[in-house]
Amino acid sequence: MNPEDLSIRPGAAEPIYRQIVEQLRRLIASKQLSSGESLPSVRDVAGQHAINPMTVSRAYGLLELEGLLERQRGKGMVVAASRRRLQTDDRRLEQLEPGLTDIVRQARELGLADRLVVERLKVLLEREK
Amino acid sequence: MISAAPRELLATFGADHAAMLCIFYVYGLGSALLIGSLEVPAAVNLATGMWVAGSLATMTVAAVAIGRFTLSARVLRLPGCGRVLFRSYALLLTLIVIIPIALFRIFIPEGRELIWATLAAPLGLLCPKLMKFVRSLPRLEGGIPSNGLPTETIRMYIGRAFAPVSFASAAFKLRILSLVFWSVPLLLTVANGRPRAAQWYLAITAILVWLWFMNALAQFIQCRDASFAELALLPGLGHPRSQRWALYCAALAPPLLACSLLAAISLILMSWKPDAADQILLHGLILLFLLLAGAGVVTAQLFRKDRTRLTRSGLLLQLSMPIYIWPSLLPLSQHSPSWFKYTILGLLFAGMGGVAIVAWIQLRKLARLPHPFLDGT
Amino acid sequence: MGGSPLRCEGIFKRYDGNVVLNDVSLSLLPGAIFGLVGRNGAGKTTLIQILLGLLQADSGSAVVMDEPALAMTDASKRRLGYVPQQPETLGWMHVGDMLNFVGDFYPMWDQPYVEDCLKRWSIAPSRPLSKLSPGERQRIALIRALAIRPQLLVLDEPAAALDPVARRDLLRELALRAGESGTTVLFSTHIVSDLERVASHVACLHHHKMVLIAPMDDLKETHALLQVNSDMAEQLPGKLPGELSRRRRSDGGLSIIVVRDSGAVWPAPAGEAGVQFESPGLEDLIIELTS
Repeated sequence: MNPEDLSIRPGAAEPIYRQIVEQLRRLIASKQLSSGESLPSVRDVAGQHAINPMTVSRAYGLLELEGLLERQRGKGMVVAASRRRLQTDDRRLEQLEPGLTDIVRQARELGLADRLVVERLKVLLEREK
Repeated sequence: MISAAPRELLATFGADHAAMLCIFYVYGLGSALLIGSLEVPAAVNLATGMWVAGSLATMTVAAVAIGRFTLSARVLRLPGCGRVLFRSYALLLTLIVIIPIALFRIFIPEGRELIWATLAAPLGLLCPKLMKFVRSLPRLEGGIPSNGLPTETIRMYIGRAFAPVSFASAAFKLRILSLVFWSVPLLLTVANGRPRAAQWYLAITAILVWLWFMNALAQFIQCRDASFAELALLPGLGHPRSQRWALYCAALAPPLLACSLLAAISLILMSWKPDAADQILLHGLILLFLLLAGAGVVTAQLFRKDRTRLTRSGLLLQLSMPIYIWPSLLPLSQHSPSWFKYTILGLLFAGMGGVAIVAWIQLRKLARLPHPFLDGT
Repeated sequence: MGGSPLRCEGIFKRYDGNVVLNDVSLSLLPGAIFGLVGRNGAGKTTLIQILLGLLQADSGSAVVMDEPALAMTDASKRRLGYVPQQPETLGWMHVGDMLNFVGDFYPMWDQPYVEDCLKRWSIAPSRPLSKLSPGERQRIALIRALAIRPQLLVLDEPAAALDPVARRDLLRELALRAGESGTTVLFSTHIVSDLERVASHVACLHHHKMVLIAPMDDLKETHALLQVNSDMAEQLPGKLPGELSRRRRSDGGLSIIVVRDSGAVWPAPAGEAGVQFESPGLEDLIIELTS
C-alpha cells in the first residue's frame, strides 16, 4: 500500500485520525489490503500528507487494539491474519454506536416515531444482504 | 499652481524626511548667515563650506526621496506626475541654491565668494545613480570572526560599519588599503608645512566617519524589533546587566573610538596652546543648551517616556547633533579660532554623542528594564 | 521532564490605552503541537512575545521551561527556537555565513540537516540574505530554528509569506522534525486548514480573551453547533450548560456553540424539534467563535 492511497480531508467534520481509521477499515474489509501486507510507516504517511505523526500513530494504535493490525518485527504494521479479527458481537456493536446515535438524533429532530425508523432500518438491512 | 508646490514637495519627500530637512535648512542657513556676518575671514569660509556641504547633502536626500516617489508613481500610473516633479525640483533649487546665494550677497559684505560653490548642489541629484553603481559592484566577503564575545555578537547584529571583519578576509584588506590611501593627503599636507589644511582634513574625516556609524546605528534602532528578539533569545550573552553593558559598548565604542583617534592625531600633529578654563566652561554650557534646544524632535524624544515612533530621520538628526551645532561655537569665541580649539572640539565632538545617549538612557529608564532587548521601549 | 515547557497566567497588556490581552492564560503540554488562532490583530503576536520574554506584560506571569520568561538562563535559550513573523536580522550576511555564525551559539546544532534543507529547497549558501524572497527568508529562519534541535519551538505566522506548496512543505517539516523528536511547538496562524493537519491542540484568541483551548482530535466530538429557530430561541434559558458562544442570526434564530465532556450527553435543547444539530468543521467552529 502507498501513503497516497489514503485521502485526508482536513475540513471534514471527522477528526483526521478517524478518517484514517475508517479508510483502513474499509480497505481491509473489502480485501483490497490482504493479510500480512505491510502498511506504510507512520513517518511516510505523515510526510506524504503533511500531518502530525501522532495522529497516524493514534489511528494505527486503535486498529491494533481492534485486532485489525498487528506489529511485526522488521516489517512494522501489517494487516492481521483473518482468524485474529473475529470480535465479539458487543465490540462490533460498539463501533456501530456513533452512527446509530446520529440516526436517533436526526429522527428526533424530524419528529419521526420510533416504530417507523425501525421498520425502515429493517428494509435497508434486507436490501444489503 | 505655485501654491500647490509645497504640498507636493511634502508628499514626495514624506513627512519625516521633510521635517528633518526643514530643520536642517532653517538652522543651517541661519547659523551660516550669523557666522558669516561676523566678518572673521576663517569663520566665513567655514560657514559657507558647511552650507555648501549641507546643500549637497539635502539635494542627495531629495533625489533619493523623489526617486522613490517616481517609482511608485510609475507603478501606479499616476497622471500629471511629471508636472508635480518639475514643480518639486524647481522649489527645491530655489530654496537650496538661489535664496541662499541671494541672502549671502545681502548679509555678508566680504569674503563670500565661496558661496558660488553652492551651484554644485544639484550634483546631489546624481548621487543615487552613483550609489546604485557602487552597490552593483561585486561584494567582498566579510569573513566571520569567532571569538564569541557578547560585544562582538551585538556588533554583528548592528551590521554595516559596526560589524567586525576577520583578519583573513578580503574586506579587512580593503579597509587597510583605504586607510593607506586616506593617510597620503594627510602626510603630504603635514610634510609641506600646512598644518591648518591637515586639521581641516581630519575634521571632515571625523564628520564623515561619525555619519557613517550613526547611519548604521539609526537603521539598527529603527528596525530593532527583529534584532532585539534574536538577541534576547541568543544564548551566551550573559545575564541582563552584562547584556546591557555589551549593548552600550557595541553601540558607542566604535564611533567614539574612531573620532577620538582622529582628534588625538590632530593633537599630536599640532602644538598645544592652553586657553582660559572659564572660556571652555562657557562653551560647554552653551553647547549643552544648544543641544537640548536644537530641534523639537530631539527634546521630544528625550522627555517623552511613552512609546514614541522613532523614525530613522529623527534618529539620524539626534545622533548627528554634534556636527550640527559645532559651527555654532565659533561666534562665541573672542579670538580667532586656534588650533587648540579645533582639537578640543574634536574631543568634545566625540564625547557629546556619548553624553546625549547616556542622558537618553537614564531619562527613559532603560537601565531599569529586566533586560535591554525588550520590545516597545 | 515534568511540567509545562511554556505557560502563562493572567496576562494583561495595554498599548496606548487599548487593551490587547485581557486575563489570558495558556499552558502547553510537553510534546504537543499547539496552534494559536485568532483574527488579524487579535493579539497573537503580542501573546507570543510576552510568552518568550520579548515584551513586558502589565501583569501576569510567563514561564519558559520553569524559568520566568524575562530572566531566562542560557541553558533554556539553547533549547528554544523562535521563528518571528518577519525575519529581518543579519540581512547583510550571506546564507551560509549566517547559519554558521548562529550555529556557533548552540551546542546541539545539526549542520548536516542545514545542508540537506538548503539543497532540498535550492537556496545557495553564497547568496546574500537581503536578496532572498520573503518566502525563502522564512524558510531560512525555519531551518535556523529547527537545526538547534529545540525542546520548545515557537513560530509566529510561519506560513504567512509562503505559497501553498511551500506552506505544505513547512507543515511537513514541522510535523516530521518536531513531531518525532517530541519537541513542544506553538505556532500562530490565521489559516485554519494548516492547523487541522498538524496541530494536536488548538487555542483561539478573540476580543483579547482566550475563548477556546482543546485537544484537536476530541474537538469535533466534544463541540457542536446548534441552530435554533426563532420560536425555540425565545424559550431558551439564559445560558446553556457548556455554551461557548451565541450568535443571533438575521432570521431571529440563534447559533450556539456548545461543549460537552466526551462520553457525556449534549445539553438539553439538542435533539428537540426546532433545534438543528451540526458537527462543525474546525474552520466553521473558529468562525462562529470569532464573529
